[in-house]
Amino acid sequence: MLVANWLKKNLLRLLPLPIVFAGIALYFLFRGNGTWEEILRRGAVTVCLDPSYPPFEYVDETTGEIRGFDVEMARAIGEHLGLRVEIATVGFDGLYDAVKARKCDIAISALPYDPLLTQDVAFSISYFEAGLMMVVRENEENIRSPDDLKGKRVAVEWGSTGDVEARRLKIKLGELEVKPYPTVEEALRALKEGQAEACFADAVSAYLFWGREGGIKVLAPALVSTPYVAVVNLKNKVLLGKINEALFRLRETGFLHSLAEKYFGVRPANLWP
Amino acid sequence: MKSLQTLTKLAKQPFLWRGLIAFILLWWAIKPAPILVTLGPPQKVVTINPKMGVHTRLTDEVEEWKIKRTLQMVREMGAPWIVEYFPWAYHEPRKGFFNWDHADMVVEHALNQGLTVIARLGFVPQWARPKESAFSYLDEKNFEDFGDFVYAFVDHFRGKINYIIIWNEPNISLEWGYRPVDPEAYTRLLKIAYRRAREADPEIKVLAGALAPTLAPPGDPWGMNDLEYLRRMYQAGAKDHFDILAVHSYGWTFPPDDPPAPDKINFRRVELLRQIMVENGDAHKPIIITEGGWNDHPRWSKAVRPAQRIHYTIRAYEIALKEWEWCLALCIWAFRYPWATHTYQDYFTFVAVDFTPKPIYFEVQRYARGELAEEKSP
Repeated sequence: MLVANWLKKNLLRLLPLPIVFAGIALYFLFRGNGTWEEILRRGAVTVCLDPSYPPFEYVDETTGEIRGFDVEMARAIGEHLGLRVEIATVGFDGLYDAVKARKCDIAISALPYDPLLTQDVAFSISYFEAGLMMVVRENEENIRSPDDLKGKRVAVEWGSTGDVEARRLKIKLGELEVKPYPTVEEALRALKEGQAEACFADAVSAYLFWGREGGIKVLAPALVSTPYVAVVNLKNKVLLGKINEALFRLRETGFLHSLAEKYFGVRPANLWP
Repeated sequence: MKSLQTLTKLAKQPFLWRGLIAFILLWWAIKPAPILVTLGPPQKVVTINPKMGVHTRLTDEVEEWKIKRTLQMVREMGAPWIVEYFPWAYHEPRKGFFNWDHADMVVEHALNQGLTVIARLGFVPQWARPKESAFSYLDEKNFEDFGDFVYAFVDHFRGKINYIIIWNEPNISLEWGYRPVDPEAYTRLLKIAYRRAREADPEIKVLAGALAPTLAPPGDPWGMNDLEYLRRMYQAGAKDHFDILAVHSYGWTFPPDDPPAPDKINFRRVELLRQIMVENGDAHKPIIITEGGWNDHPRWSKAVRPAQRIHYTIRAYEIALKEWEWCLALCIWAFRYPWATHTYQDYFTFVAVDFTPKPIYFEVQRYARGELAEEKSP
């Protein structure tokens, strides 16, 4: 009763309230994305990377410039957006924080998609599958999947993810010889020279070896997928959409494949998952 | 008012109460039983190297089966020693009010697996530090509070835990409340902790230091060179107030046989700390390496390749066993994390978050079983 009486007495005073609420609702409904507008005002997008991971990002010793697959891809994205690209270097472990703290708009630095970080940052579609691949000799036609390796030999880098997966496969197949080597290059060379029928290696090492020495081929899909993605702030939804559009376009036009050819010396059939 | 009347009417209906009670009984009857975890039969560690150890990370591990599984895997790997963190704030949330439930669970499972526990004590509760201060901030006026906790901890675990570490890496600002580090103040804290620990259990072994390896130059606001810090601890009278020196010994990119040098951080840097102990008449005291080892992150500048990490780790255990008679145990960082850190830290572990053993786990296990020595012999 008390509340009803109070409402009756103060009805006139409360009249403007719905208008205020409607105003607030309209503001939130139609407000622009401040971040995207700010990027447009600047005319530039800032891309963070750690230039210590060739061929994706590295410092050219002769010119001192930062180069690599990611750098060229970032510039291509910038071109698609009609924006200048400003590169900022950040240590690998600080890249996510740099995006979260808006020190940069995008991080493109061979960063893998991580489902456990989707509450912290937003991920683009993948531009490169860097996961664990099965590698065989170039003339090999009978081995197409891990199940074909029963009774065969698999070369791996000792202690690597490839080693973990080969040990797991050995338990599954029963008959499988896992041959460990000190480095992934030595494991790939052992495959090429016939000391093993397959090698489990990460895509980057496999493509680099394939491009440099030949004699092998990389089979898709990845045994363990590690898709590289661009990372943006969770609130930058407009920017994320624009980056995804750009990446679709770079996929369709063959730009990403030509980048792979430039930096690895090979043209992999499946460049993304 | 009308709805209040309706509610009152509803509450008077007997079918409502009967239904509610039936629902509660049904829920109680069909709810899944908690996972039963028992200690199981007592175990023993089988190893050719009794100095092998790891730093576990069970502080934030909630589920008992995961605690048990972790400690089982440590035992099966062949490491008889573990270092585990027992944060003061977790166990004394209010002054004089102690809760040992989680700590008891960890210790009981560790002992049942035949492991020796080295307890790292630190992490200041909110009630013992100013608001907005860091968990590592302890004002001198609260040193006795920490002493009281040390007494309670040692008293509670008497006969079960024989080794405690007083604080962690006090020579870096991060671990000293983000203040300039102060070896004299740490020594005063150590003296109190040592006295209270001995009051609770005269047999307890108190580990001092757990110094972080650092080449911080004089006056660096973020830390003090570990060699300088230890010298100043001795000057401040630390000698009679600890039984064992705790040391952190990381190899970064250097192999374990890389010779020590004051201007280099490598695995054998511990020998320089040992020399300072000898110079100060403490040659009889042992050292325990309570953190150390190598990392195999593919992009971290201080990491090595996975195969190197395996070689270096096994060699480090061999050095501790055969060359360092003064080293009581080598506890490598870290066995397993309760969750992924998404940084290079994940590449220090022996076992993945989901308990998948990494190849280094199997190779260290083969070493502990003597299989590597058998392969080498003709």
